[in-house]
Amino acid sequence: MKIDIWIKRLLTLTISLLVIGLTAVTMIKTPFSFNEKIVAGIAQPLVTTEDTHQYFRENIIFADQLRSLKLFLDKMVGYVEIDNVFITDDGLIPRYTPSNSDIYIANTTAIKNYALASAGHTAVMILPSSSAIYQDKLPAYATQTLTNEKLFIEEVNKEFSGCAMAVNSYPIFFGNRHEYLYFKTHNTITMTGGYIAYSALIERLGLVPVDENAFKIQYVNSDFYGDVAGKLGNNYDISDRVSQYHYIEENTLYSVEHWQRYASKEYSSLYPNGSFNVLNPKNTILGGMSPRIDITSYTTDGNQKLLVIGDENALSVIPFLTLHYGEITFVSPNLLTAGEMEKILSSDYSLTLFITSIESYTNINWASKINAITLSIPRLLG
Amino acid sequence: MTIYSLTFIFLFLPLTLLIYAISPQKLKSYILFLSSMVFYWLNSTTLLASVMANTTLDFFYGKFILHNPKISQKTSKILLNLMSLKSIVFVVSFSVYAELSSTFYLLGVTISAFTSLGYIVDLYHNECDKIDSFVDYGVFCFFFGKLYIGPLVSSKQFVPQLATLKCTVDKFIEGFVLFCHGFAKIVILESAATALGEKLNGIPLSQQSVLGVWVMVMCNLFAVYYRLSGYSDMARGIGAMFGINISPNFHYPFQSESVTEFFSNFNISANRFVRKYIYQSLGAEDNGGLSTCMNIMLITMIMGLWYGISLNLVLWGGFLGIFIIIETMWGEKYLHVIPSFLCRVGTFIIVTMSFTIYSTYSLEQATAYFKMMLGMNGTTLINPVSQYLINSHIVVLAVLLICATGLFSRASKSISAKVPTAWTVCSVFGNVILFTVTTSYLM
Repeated sequence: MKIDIWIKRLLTLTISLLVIGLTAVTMIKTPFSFNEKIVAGIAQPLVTTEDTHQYFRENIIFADQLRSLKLFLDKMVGYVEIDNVFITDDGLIPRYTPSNSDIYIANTTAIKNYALASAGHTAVMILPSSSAIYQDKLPAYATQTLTNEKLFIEEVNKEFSGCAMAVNSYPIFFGNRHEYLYFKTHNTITMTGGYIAYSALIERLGLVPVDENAFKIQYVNSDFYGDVAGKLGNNYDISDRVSQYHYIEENTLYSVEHWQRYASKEYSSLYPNGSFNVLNPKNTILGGMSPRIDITSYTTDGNQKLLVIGDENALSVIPFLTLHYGEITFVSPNLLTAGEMEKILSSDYSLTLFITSIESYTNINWASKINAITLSIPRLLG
Repeated sequence: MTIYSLTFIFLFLPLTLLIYAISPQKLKSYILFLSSMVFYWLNSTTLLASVMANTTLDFFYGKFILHNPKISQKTSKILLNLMSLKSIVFVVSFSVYAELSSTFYLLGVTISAFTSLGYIVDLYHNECDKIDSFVDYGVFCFFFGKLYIGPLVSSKQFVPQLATLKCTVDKFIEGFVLFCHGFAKIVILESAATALGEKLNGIPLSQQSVLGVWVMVMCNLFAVYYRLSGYSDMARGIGAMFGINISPNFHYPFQSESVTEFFSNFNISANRFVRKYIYQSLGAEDNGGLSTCMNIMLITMIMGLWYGISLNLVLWGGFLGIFIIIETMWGEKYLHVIPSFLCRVGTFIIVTMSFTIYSTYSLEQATAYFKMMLGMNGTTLINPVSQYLINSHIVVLAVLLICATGLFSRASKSISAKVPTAWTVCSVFGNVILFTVTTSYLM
């Protein structure tokens, strides 16, 4: 009987210490912020509790381990899709979910208006999602729940007939689906995917793409863990290797100039392997994302200029396009304001390329930003 | 700050327990009252004054008017009716307002008002002792553990415990175990059921399948059950940690062999309240068949309203009421002939079908789902989307079903009877693991 009581006391002590200890440790971790939040929140109790809850989520001891535990259990019970991400043996494949049709209709109309107003040529390339291309890697029956991207891209491309050149990337991506086209932990195409997109585009433009064997492929030493892995807490034994396609035939000189609102940076290589960029291997491609990037290729024949308007996927395609265009300007409608877009003189460019993932195209309204460039095009007085 | 939030679990509860444990006996009920007020204030600052005013009126009515020799019995009765009406109007008006404004959250309005109302009615009938201390009355009506959905407690059961409040090892362990069960029910099971239910509900009506709709309705049923019983378990667990016994509110309703049994085992305290204060007053089953049928239908519909002001909820109660009437009038002759297993399956099917009404927003939607569940209008048995969702959640569905039965409870009772000490150790460590796992789902 006495043993029972002592065991119970011991257990109670353990539990109490566990609960109090966890509380104490979370407070010790960042000793002053907690008190500040309590004092600040007295007048607004609801804000206090939300702040405190967030504080515990961020600072609780073993937070990362607890998140890993949840994912482990989710996998154990057979979840094949967590937070709209399919977990496959080969990588994490985000599910593409289109939002309402108003967004892509607005984007299509804006691009058409731009193409009609612009003096140069306009090309449009909508990239399919990894969930459409890697269907055979998805769990049984999951494919039935996906959007028919092939049909969607074909239908949208038809809209551009007569005003812009639409490049259907779906067939070539699907044909090369066994290649490493998409990052396993990030929702963009790889450099291999970039080469595939480049080939499709250049052929459509009536040019000859540079053969893949003309490039020396180098890999960045450190592993890359993208946003999709981050969303799930980086708890998978899956990482990516970022590759760089170096043109073998000649040593080309480049200038890669990043425009940012409060700072600018310049690189003399398409793949700046500085220590800062190697921390995030994806940043070794053109130095990463910026609202505007101007790439000048000093040895490329011809003085044709290309304007690329698109999302992060464009960065994997642009290095290949430098072999054909002496000057390329990349602008991100996601990162630039309409006012900043307005300053881009599209009349300087012989070709404007809209290149984006199907997800950005259908879920992010770029119409006002594209319209801003369209409005800045000098009109011919009749 | 919900009772399953990290803030509550790692700050509010340990701090309150610590202060409570070290404070002298006389102050313990004051600590509980104060912490309950702070909890309410943190959750619903705007409502605190209203709910306090409502219960304070009841307290003063009970303390100074009832059984006061200077006040006639007739006046007392009239005042009792007025007080009852006041509480009902109070709850209904707030519920209607909450229904109209989706952002308004009713914390403890029903529980505090009906706990208080039950007390004055009991006191009028001399079924309980008068509560002299306003602090005790405050704890009785507003104890933070039971503010969400109860259980509804009677003063006869709850208030005497306030005189002998103390923290003991046994009660703490009992409370911790109950708390962990409730915590896991809400955070893991209810969330899983809701998530799957929402995914299936997201399939357009024209693409639904028979199995898809059945699983969707079952998920809604489990979500409601795990949420309500989870809150009740947590309330009982928190109560036990502070040395207060609170009766169970759910007793494995999905093992019921009849709809009547299901109804009695689902939200027991609310059911008991409605039966005691309404059904009995109406004459229960004493005034013939027709009156019995009317009374049953009335209380089942009122029970529907307990969960919210909505036509569908009233109809849900009425739907179950029809089966309860059939069982009450003719069930005794036939039910015992049917094998127990079949009775359970039959009851589960009826209850699941009833949740089509409970979990939809309109009668048209409920009717459409009913037809689909029965394979009418050419609905296919299964389609790829439903099949994918069901296949990838098959383990989850099995866990939801097994945990709703008394399988674990029976097994634990059987083991603890044979090896009590070893079982206590295993149970506590098992629940510490459960607590850790559940916490991971809040990250």
